[in-house]
Amino acid sequence: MATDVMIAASGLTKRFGSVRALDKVSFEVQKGEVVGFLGPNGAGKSTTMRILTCFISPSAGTAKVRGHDVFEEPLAVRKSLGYLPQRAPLYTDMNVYEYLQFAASVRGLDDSTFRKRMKRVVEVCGLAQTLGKDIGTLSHGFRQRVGLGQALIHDPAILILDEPTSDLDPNEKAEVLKYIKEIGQDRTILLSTHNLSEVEEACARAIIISKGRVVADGPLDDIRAKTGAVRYIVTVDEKKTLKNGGAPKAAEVKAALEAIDGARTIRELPTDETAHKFEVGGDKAGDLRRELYGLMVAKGWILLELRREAQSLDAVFRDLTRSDERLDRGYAPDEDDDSDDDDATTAADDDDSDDDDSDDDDSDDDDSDDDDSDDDDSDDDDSDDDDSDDDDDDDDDGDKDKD
Amino acid sequence: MGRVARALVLHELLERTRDRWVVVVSVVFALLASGVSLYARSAEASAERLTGPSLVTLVGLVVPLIALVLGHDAIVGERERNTLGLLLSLPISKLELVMAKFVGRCLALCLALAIGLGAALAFAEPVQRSVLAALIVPTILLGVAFLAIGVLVSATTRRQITAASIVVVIWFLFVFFYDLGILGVLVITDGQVSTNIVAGLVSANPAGLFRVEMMLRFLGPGMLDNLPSNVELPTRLGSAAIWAGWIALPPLVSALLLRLERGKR
Repeated sequence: MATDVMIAASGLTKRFGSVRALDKVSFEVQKGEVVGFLGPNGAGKSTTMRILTCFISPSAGTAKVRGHDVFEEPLAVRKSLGYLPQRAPLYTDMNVYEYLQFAASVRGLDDSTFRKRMKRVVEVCGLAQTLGKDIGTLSHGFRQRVGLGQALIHDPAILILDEPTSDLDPNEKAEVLKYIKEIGQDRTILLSTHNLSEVEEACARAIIISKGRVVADGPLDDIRAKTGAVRYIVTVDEKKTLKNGGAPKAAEVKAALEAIDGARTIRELPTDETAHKFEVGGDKAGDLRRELYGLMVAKGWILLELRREAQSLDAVFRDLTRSDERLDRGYAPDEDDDSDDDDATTAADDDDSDDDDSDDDDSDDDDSDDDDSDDDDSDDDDSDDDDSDDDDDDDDDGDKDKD
Repeated sequence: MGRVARALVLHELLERTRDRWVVVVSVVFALLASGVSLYARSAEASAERLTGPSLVTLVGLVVPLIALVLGHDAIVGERERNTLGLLLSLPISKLELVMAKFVGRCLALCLALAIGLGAALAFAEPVQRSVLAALIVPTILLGVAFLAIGVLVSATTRRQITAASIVVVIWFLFVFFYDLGILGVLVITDGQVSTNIVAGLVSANPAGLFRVEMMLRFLGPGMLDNLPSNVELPTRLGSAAIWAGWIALPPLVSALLLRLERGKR
């Protein structure tokens, strides 16, 4: 029976010497899904993608692409995949047409199939005006389009895109995302990025990875809702009131908001209006809108705005991955970090919560590594040879190809 | 070889023919070979006798350098261009990938050598042509052996500049210092080292084997008159085995290294 699971990672672990870059990463991607693979630099995104594309092998765990094991059947896996590594790999001395022709030929396409596919790729990626131009003369945005074209030329069922919008200006990013959305209408896409707006724009589901572990996995709304917090935006007119008590002062409004039962945090927000604007944090289980409205009525203040919203994906991401940043800054990780992870994880692997402690410690210690660690492989468990020449191909400039 | 590998071979050949450095060295080799051919031709009576040894010396010096340079960026060049990931994501094995790059570059090398020897042939007298014809296969073997070494260097390094430096050192070692080293050993040991060991050492070096085979061919067995009578040079089979080893082993080891790398990068 044909399976709808296009990508299945199960307990993927990857060690580089003493560094644990991936720690029992498990997830599935169904047919037709466009999934954002999110995480800060060094979280393990590129390592996961490289395993899925058979570029490196895991230290433990399995990964299957369209039912083919990446280690046992790498050729079958590669046939199913279109892969765009971070910074599109291009032969800059070729022109666009030659490059796509080369990409088609090394994917085994014959001439007539190439011509058919070329037409579609040119249309989807917007390359009609650049076919005769040398790749070396193209802007970053067009190069990414060419890279996408290369990944699409053999009409793969699955696309793995590793930070396809890195180094692009906002206009170029918007265009590339537009193309990804178009492409995603008829195929499965795993899109790695640390840019949340891209995920919100192009994906319906996200997997958030931090310190080599999946900390959240599910539809974006679920991820936002699962973090246990909501916020209320309250804007009060600062000039007029409905009672004869004089215009309200910001401190007065703040004190009144703090007095509301269930209001956890109060923060004044900047505004261009002649108004006091506050953000009130509350529990997701409760709803403070009645109390807030009642307060305005009781005080006679004019309420210009009141809305309740789930935490933004940005905030969720920061919450879930903040221990990475703390470690990068040399602080101890948050004590409640693990509990946060568990809260946020919807479909994430439950096994993670009961990982062995020693290993957790190990990975925590090492998680400040970006994917350089992938390349600083001083003495790897999995291999005997030592490549202390650490300027790895696609990783040669610091975080260039790092998660 | 599958369709993908054939496409890679073709791509490799095309890329090399666009490589300005390869074009320049091919032209320089062609000019030098033509020069040798013209010079020997001017000697008239001894044209045949001059052409062979002169071209052997030229080929022995220049071809290893051309081949090493041609091979040195086969893998590391892709690494630096960030295109190795793309190639490794293709549905071919590591061995096929390395062999495709090796074969593509072999074809480019043969093209460069054909231009050089072809130019020499164009200026040659009929009497010189048999000498040039006799040089073709051994020259290709020499070039391919050093190309294989270059490919191995490219698979073991992470930067193109490192690979370039290493191949230059290898060229000096194999072409100049290897024989000097053997002479040094003979001097230090006051000639106590067996002549067969010395002959074996000379023949183990592809540049040395090429010179010995060609000199024997052009100067005849009389060349060995000054050597002890019991010296044993490689038989045809032995010679073929040495060439095969130098040509086949480095690409195989390169593929193995790439395979091992998969587990760690």
